[in-house]
Amino acid sequence: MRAALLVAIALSLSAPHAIAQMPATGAATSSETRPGRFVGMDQSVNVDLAEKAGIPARKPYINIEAWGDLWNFVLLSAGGVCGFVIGRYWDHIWGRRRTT
Amino acid sequence: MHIAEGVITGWPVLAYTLAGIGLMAIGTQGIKKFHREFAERRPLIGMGAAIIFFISLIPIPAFTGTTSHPCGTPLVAILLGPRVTFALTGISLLLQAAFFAHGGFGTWGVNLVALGLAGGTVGWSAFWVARRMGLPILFAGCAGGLLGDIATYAFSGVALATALATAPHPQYDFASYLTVIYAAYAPTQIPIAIGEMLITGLALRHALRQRPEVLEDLNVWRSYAAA
Repeated sequence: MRAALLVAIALSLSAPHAIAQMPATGAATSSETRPGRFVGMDQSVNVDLAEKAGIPARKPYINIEAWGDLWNFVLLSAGGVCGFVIGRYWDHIWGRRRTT
Repeated sequence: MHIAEGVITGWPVLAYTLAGIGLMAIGTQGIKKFHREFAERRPLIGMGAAIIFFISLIPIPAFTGTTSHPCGTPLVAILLGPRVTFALTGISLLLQAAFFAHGGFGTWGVNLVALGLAGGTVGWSAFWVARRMGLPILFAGCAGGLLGDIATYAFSGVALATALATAPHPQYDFASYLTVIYAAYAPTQIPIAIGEMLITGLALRHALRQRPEVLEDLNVWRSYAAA
């Protein structure tokens, strides 16, 4: 049980960082896409087809890429706090086992 | 699944947004009902929102060299009900549009209809039909996860094909666009849908083995036994 909680906390800490590092697939037009493998399907299919049809995707209203590492700081802090809270109060989510 | 900001334009934006607001209203009523009926299980609402937010945002690499997202809404709809899922999906998509550049405010409605309505409702329905057929919870959950995922992308394809066919410079008609989109989705999304199928089924079976009283309280398991 303790090991499972540690894994949950570790995931909570690492997942937001992974999300922060991923490309913003729906964010920009295909001409601005970073080259390479593992482009999101939202970008490689939806946005590309839309651009060719004359309705290019617009840039997001809140451009997190311009925030630099500040966004990583926010996500990591929130993920860490949430991980510890979830680990501490895990039984509040699922409830305590019935002992009948 | 996330249709980007600006791809849907004109009156469809209004129509989809109104549909999304309607789904949020239905979802809010569902959450209130959940609070009344399962007061001790209220924290599960937060967990359901976290599941949808995380699973529908995480990019899973596929053999094709691209990434795509699973949905998460079939599992949450099976556990908490489709109406609650509508509201949780709407909130998740709003956060993803605001802070993660996935989807958009103008396409929030269409993404909510695809992920929440199509994915959640079809996944929940498939689970219940499978249960009525007497299938074990593992297979019923697998059916819900698979069909919910496919339904989400099937609806996204229809919505996108409609928008492209009525765009200023369409390259194909609606049927051809739909074929092109589905052909492009399939190699990436089918393996991910199979993954979501397995995760949904295994998660429900694990929950039943470890904490059967939770599924009984939520009327997921008791009704299954009765069926």
